[in-house]
Amino acid sequence: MKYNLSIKTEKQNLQKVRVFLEKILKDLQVSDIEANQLILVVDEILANLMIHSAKNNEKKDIDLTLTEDSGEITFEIYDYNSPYFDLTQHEDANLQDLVKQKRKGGMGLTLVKNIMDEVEVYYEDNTNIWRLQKRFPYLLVKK
Amino acid sequence: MNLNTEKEQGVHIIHIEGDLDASSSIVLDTAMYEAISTQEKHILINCEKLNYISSAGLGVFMSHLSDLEEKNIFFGLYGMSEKVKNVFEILGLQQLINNYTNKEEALQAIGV
Repeated sequence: MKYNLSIKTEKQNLQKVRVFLEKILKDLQVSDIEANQLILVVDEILANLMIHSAKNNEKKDIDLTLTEDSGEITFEIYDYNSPYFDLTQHEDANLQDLVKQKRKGGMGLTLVKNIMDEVEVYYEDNTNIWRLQKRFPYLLVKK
Repeated sequence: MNLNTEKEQGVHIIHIEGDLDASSSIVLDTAMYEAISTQEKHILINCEKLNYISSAGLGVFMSHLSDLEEKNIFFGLYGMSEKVKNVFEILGLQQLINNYTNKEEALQAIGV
């Protein structure tokens, strides 16, 4: 099964995306805790894109897809007209440093990497394509 | 998200209801600044009706920790649901921020 959603980069849309995903993940019989983790992962990526977009004073379209296949859930997030984002340069959050620096940000991508089995960013046609995967063996048993 | 504050037995309690994400975390940030600047000695966050938290919400707590410590203010969260607590624990924040099952336990830790 494949599901699609297109949104504008406005922070008030974050809740709409969460509601959209919550229903699908419930239908797929993902557990509440893990559904919340998946929703969080998408929310974190979208929030980062929206903050970046707001800094540049622009409203962009973002496409999101969710695919469930053989007990594996894959999200793809299309961030159009963006400079290349090099995920390999990202360093996991050091909590002590964040406290010392009184920083509010810096934990989102660490959460994403901790939750998902695979996180990749492809760059094609000026678009960063985030590909996030997690396996749920119990979904196969439930089918 | 809805947020309101009250004082109970000398403890400043911030009640959060709904979703704490990148669009609503600013409201919590303001409430935290106000509580810290009004010389409160004990600040608790009631999470019983907190449905969802992202790193933006957790980041608000993190950004105030050094000021809370510097001013010797007791700070803690209570009443987190299993899914909110799960997010908290993925980052290991239980090592840095006090969290209690319920208000009674939190008040007991304060000693009131």
